[in-house]
Formats: sequence, structure tokens, C-alpha cells
Amino acid sequence: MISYIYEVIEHDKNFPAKVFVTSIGESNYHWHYDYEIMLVLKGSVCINIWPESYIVTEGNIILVNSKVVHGLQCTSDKNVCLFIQLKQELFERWQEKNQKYRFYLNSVSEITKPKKPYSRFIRTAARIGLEIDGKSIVNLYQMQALLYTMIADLFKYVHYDIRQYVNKFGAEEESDILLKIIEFVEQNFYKENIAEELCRFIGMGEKTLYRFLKSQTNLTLKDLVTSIKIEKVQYLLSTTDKPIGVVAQESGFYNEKTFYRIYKKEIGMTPTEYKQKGTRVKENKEIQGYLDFNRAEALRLLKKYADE
Amino acid sequence: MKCTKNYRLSYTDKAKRIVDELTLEQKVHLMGGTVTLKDMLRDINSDKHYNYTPYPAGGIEEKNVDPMLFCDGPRGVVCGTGKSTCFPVSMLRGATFDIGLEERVGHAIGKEVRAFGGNLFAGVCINLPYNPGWGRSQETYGEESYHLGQMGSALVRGVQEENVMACVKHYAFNSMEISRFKVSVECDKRTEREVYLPHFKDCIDAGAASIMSSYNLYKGTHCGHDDYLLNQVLKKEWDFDGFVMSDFIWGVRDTVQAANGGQDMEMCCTQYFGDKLVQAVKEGLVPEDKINDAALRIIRTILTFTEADNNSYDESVIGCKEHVELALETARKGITLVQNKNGVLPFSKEKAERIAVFGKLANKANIGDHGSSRVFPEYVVTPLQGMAKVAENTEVIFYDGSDMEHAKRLASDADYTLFVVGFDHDDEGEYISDDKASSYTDSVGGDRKDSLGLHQDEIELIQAVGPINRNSAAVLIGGNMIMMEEWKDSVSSILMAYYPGMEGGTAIAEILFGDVNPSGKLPYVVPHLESDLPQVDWDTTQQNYNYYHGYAKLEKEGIKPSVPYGFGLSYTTFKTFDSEFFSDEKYITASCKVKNTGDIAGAEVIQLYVGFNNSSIDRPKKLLRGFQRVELKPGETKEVTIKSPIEKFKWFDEEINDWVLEHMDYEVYIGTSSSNEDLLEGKVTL
Repeated sequence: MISYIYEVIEHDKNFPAKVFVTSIGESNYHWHYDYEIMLVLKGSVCINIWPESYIVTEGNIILVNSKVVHGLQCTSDKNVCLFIQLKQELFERWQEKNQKYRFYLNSVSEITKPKKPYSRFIRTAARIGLEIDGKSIVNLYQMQALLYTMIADLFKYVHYDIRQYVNKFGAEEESDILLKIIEFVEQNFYKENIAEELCRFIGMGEKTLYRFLKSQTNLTLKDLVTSIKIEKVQYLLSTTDKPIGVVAQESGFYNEKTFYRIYKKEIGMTPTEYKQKGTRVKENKEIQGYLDFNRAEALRLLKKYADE
Repeated sequence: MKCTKNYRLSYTDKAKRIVDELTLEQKVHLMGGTVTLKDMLRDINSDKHYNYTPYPAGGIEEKNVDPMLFCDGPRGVVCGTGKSTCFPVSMLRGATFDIGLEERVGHAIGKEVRAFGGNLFAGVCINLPYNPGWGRSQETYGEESYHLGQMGSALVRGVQEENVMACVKHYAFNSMEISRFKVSVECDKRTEREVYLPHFKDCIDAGAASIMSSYNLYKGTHCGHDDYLLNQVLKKEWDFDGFVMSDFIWGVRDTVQAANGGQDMEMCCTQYFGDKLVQAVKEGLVPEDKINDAALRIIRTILTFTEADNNSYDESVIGCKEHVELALETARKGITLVQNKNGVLPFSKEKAERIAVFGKLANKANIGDHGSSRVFPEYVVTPLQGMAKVAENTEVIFYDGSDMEHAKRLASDADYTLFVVGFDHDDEGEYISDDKASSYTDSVGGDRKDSLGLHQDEIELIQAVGPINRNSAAVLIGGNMIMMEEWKDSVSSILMAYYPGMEGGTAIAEILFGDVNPSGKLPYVVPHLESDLPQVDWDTTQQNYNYYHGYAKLEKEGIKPSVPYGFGLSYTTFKTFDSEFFSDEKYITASCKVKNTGDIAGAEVIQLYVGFNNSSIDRPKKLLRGFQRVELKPGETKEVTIKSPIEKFKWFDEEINDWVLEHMDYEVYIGTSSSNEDLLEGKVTL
């Protein structure tokens, strides 16, 4: 995992989801509380759902579960994609807020196939896409009906498992606490006693913090610190000509040997190799690198999938 | 206990004086429930439920005779919603073999009954399951009469020490659910006296204030009308001083037969007593003496208990921390480790980064059936929630198991796999009809009439996914014996959790992860074949109960069980040695030393069996006649002494209609299960 960003999703005022069509350039690794359904309408994109990567070609549908870190990249084949971001509250059992559902809907990997053909989910998704621009009351109810149909179908026809947590925090609070933690780590990643300071800062015991982070992000504090350090390294390597030793120091790696080992493990190559490749990354935390696309074409494709 | 039988009898004169002042109508009024069918249905069809408040019967205000105020059980007090402590079901409590613990449960229940405004607890269910498929087995303690008598008596004492009347049920032969309103049970006199009645007598001897007659018939007579069972055996032979009540609504079918048969109280609505009974007395069909006797029994018993103390209990005692802790302690002590290949249990918290949990019951608040024993606690900890709580650094992944390939992948990616399988209220429990919607229980219940095994999909799941990851265990949920043969080799460890109550999920997880060392013992035998057990026609008007059932039947027929009666493993090991056996005029005494030879603390249940191999008549190979739970620190040795009354060695001679002691050598065994391999043998001569 290179880096992650928590994405705040603003849902539509009228229904508990955000639905949009876009063309993907590149989005950094990120995660959000929403369950995200992506339908590739044209071309292909590469989706990285750590630790797996898939090339999703047109006509394929994939669901990214709540709080799962993922990133997107365009391929040489220019893409148009439909995204449906569903609020996690829709998936919460009202009796048991400490359970998180994880659905297996991925027409590319096909590891755990749903009980109904993918075309059923693709059709519903496309029909949801067709309601985006309508402003009438009919559109609004149609959109809601389709969204709830999709959720019902997920529970009925898609295999899912449940993660059980113990949690003393309410759902509202969780994201605030997590943002505080992330912000703190970004500012203090170079400190040796970061765990201690963080615990004091947010008023949690070390064990509670561990559980909280693990349940929210599936990361330990150590993972989190490492990924932030590596992100810093990448930035310095691609934007400056500082020697690698200095980059390591400035990024909070005080032991060069450890630095090389961790870097290789995380990035899959040495810092020198990386620098030679000359890849440039932006430190900018823009998540969606959305490109222009032809709206008329998108509409035609949505209709095609909706009718199939 | 203040309100002992002798103490109650001291109220006879006072009660008689009151009876003498009453009109016939007033006396008959005492003998009937004052709930109307309409009220009952209104409770059931509203947001309340059956027995939401205590159900009253009788009561005469101007004479200061309180009504009887009925609270059902046994897994706690049925009244209220979101309040009562839900204890593990009686079957789990039977598996603790801990009489002191059951008394403490009785105390807690007694206090909660009083806080709800009740004065009687009808949760001492001690029916002996002829076949473990009986749908309400969860409400009783096990298959062994002696053990039933001991555990039931403990609950009677606990409840009555809080000055709440205990009602023992269902008298008698009530071990079939679907046919309960129509079946007539037949058995010979020896079976009746040696197998199906002794535990009732034990509870009466322990001082139970009340007894409930059963729905079923015995030899063609409704038990609620049965002169033989009620007048002759219970009131005359056993000298019972308390009162009989009928099972609800369908327990009395005829005014004259019931009254003359010894029925003292029609529950919980007055249908055949009341005006009809007054009329029957006036017509000379029922002697007024019968009415006087019933009134005396009811007044005497109620007066004794209501005047026993002036304590008052407020609602804060209901579901209080102490009681919930007791429910948890009980679950910890009753859950039984049946198999543990390669010591897979306990799971290591350090190694368990991820545990995959299969089976829909893992994610279900499952505290037992939805019939008259249903308790409504504030919360129920599911097995899944328990694991997330106990193994706080472990990722707990639940999958219902519907796609086998997905289940296999999860199992191979996990450090441990767990199956939570068995039954719920639709598989077994109180039965009204096959149509869920027309039944107040909102579930099917009934007997396990098709199979005593797991559901086919659960068996297939364990068979397919079990072998993927050998760090595996199955947790069984159910009210009685569950067959294991088809799948037991596909999983390393097996834990029987019964219905473990509101804190059951916590106890299961604590045992799985080694915070608690299991110490329960199966209160039933597990056979290799269902056909090793007595066969029952579950939907019938006629059923014979033969002399042999359970472990005694298997042993008599020379059939080795899959798991013996009284068996249960621990995470430590025990050694028994230095046994001694002797007898005096009243008791056989057996003793042995027991040592904890492992390196963690644990508890063992030392059991005493008596053998009848030298008998000149047909008798069992051996029977349980004593037990003692003992806790041992690592390396510690204790001496355990168990006394068993010789009275309990007798057989019932039909010819002279009395109990007879055979003068011969008896084998006496002391050890850790009913299997001879786990027992030290000796001999006493009587």
C-alpha cells in the first residue's frame, strides 16, 4: 500500500447515495465508508483493491466494500465509468451496529459468484445511472426504488460475510476520531514515541487504539505510520534531487538499512530504481482524477446496459 | 428454608378455621385461575406476551388470603420485557452437576419473581426424556432420574428460601410435545416407580409447595384428573401437603373427573371449575370434602409463604448485575467439551489474527424455545459478539456458509475456523401447531421427530469445510443430545453449549479462547446410532415407555456409546486414585482422591454409580447415585466423599407393591464419567 486518503463523500440531498458517470485518469489509494459500485461503460480501468489488482473492462461490474482501501488508474483504453456510492448506514443492521458487511461482487475475478447472473446487477446499476440527470418527482422515486432494489439484491443474491467488532463509539463519532488520528499521524510521523503521544492526544489506551484502527482501516498504527513515511519518500524522490539518505532521514527513516528493506517491501523496487524510472507523483490529495468524456455517449451506453 | 413442610403444617389449624368460614362459592373460587382467555390473548397479541405479569388464581381479600401469583420459567422469570435475567436452560444447568449453583440460581429467580409481584415460580421442570427428541428437553436437567431429583430439589430450595412457592412440573410422563394433548403413556409399574416418578418424589421430599399436572394421559386417564397419580401416589403415599395445579387451558377437561381425581386448581382460566364445580357439588357429583381439602391446601400453603417475611423487592433486583454474573458463571460451568483432538482448544489469542465463523446460529440471539419458558432479557450476547469481545485483537469473520467454495476460502485464510450449529425455536420447543401464524409462540417448535442430528446443510458444511483447516471447532446449540457420527471426524473439537442464556456468547468465547476452563458433563448419553435409543412415535395417541432408556439401555444391551453419560473434557487432566467403599445402615459411602495433574486450574465432577450385576432380577448394569463437583488448582489433590442413601438402591416389587432392597454384593464405582474406563470399582455388601 502506498498511501491512503480518507474520502469524504457528499451524498445527494434526496437519496442516500452519490451517483455519477466519469472518466478515470488516476486516483490515489483511498477509502471511504461508502460501499462503491463501479460499472465500466467503455474501455477499461485498473482497480487496485489492496493487495489485488484487476483490469476491469467494459460491461463489468465491481463492488468495493466499505472502508476498503482502493485506487484506480486508466489504461491505454480510454474509459467511461458509472459510480454508485451507497451510504454505509444502508447496510447496517439496526440492532447491531458493530457488524460490517463485506459483499463479493466482482465480475472480473469471479471468485465468489453471486446466485444470479451479473447482468441483473449491471442492469440495475445502469438504470440507476439513467436517473441521475432527471429532476422530476418520478426520477426521484425511481432512483430510490432502484437503489433499494440494488441493496435488496445484494443481500439476497450476493455472498457476503460479516465482520464482528466490539465498539464503544457511535458511528457518527468514528469518522471524526479517525480523521483526528490520521491528521495527527501525518504531522507527527517522524516521532519515535508517536504511539504514546497519539494515545494521549485522543484519550485512548493503546489496546483500544489498536482495535479501533484495525476495525476502521484494517491497519495497525505501525502500518499507518509506514505508509505515510513512504508517501513522503515518494514525494521527495520525485520532486527533489536530494540524496536517498537525506530523503530517508527527512521522511522519518532513521536507520538506512531498515529504510531499504521497508521501501522494497512496500514499493517492490529500490529507491534508486524508482528515481531512475522518474515517476512523478503529486503530493496533492486530490482523489478523483476525473477526465472529460462525452455525455451523449455515456447516456447511450447506460441505455444499452439498462436494456440488456 | 423457613417454609418447610413441617412449618406449613403448623398453619393447618389457622387455615382450617378460614376454610370453615367460607361459602362453597368462595372455596371453589380459590380453585381457579382468574385470568380470562380474552386477557391472555390480548397480552399475546399486543406488544406484551404470555405471562407478562404474574397470572393470578383464587385469593380472598377479606380473609387476607392472597391470590396465587404464577410466574413461569425455568430459564428465568418469564414476566416483563427487557428486564429478567435469562439463565442458561435447565439442560445446561444439569450439565454443571452443581447443586449449590442451582440453589443460587433459585435464589436469584425467587427474588426476581417477588420483584415482579409474583409468589410462585413454576419452573421446576423435571420430566425425564424417554427419547432425547422431546422438544422441551431443554427445560429439564438430563436423562437420569437421580440427577433430575437432585437438581430439581436444589431449585426448589433456592426459590423457596426466598419465600416463593416452587411448582414442580409436569406430573407425570410428559416427555413428548407434539402429542402432548392426546397421547396416553403406558408403562409397567416398575418403570413408573423406578424411572418416571422418583425425581418427583425427591422434589416433594425437598419441600416443594406445588405441583403441576401434565396434559398427557397415563393409562387412558388425563393426568390432571388422575386419582391414582394425584390422590393415591402424590397426596397419600408421598404425603404431599401442598396443592396441585393443572397445566394451562387444556389441563382440565371435565369438572367432576378433575375434582374427584385430586385436581386442586384449574389454571390459568376457570373453564370447568367455578360455577360448574359449585353445581357439581350441589348435585352430589363431587363431595364437599374434596373442595374443603383443596381449599385447605391452597390457603395453608399461600398463608405460610406470604407471612414468612416482610421483605420487599423492588425492580432493581430484576436482571441486576449480580444475577447476570450468575447467568454467566452458570454458562461457564455447564458448557461441555466433548472432543478435543490434538488439543486444538483452547485457541490461542496470540495466534488468532483471524477466525472464520460459519453457521447462522453464530449470529443469532438464541436462548431457547419461544413457548411458555421464553424469557425476555435486556440483551443476549451472540457467539459472534462474544468472540469479538473476548478475542479483542482477532478479526472475527462470519459467513453463513451458503456457498461452500467461499466458505472453504475463508477457512483456508483463517487461523482458526469455528462452526456454530444446532437448533433454535423452530426446530424444537413448545408446540401448538405446525402453522407458525396461528401459534402464540410464533415458531414451530415440537419434537425432533425426523432426526436427532444436525440439519443436512450443517452436516455438509462441516464435512466439506472442516478438513480445510484443522484448527477447527464446532459449537453445538440445542436442548438435548445431538448426533455427531456423520461429521465428528471432520472437525477437531466439539463443544456442547446447549442454550447458554443471555451471556452465553461470552461464555462460549471465553472457553474457546481459554479464559475459562470447561467443566460441564453431558447429562445424557450420545449413541452411535439413533436406533440404540428407545423409539418413539411422536404423533400418536398411544406410547409405551419401556424400563430402559439412555445410558442404562445402551449398557444393558452391551452397546458402546459414542460419548458416555457424565462425560466432559477439561483443558487440564485429572487422576482419580485411592478409592474406598463402605456401607452402614443408611448409606453407601464412596471416596477417592482426585488430583489435577495438569498445569491450569480446573473442575471435575466425581460421580458415583451403583451396579446390580448380582441381582436375581432384571436390573440395569449400573445407575448414577451420587455426584460431587470439585475445583482443583494445578497439582492439587482433594479427597472426595460421596454418600448415597440405600433407599435409592431398592427396586419396586409389583407383587407386594412396595420397594425391596436386595441383599447381595453391589458394585460401586467412583470416577469421572459413566464409562467403566473412567471409574474405580469397589464392592459393598448389603
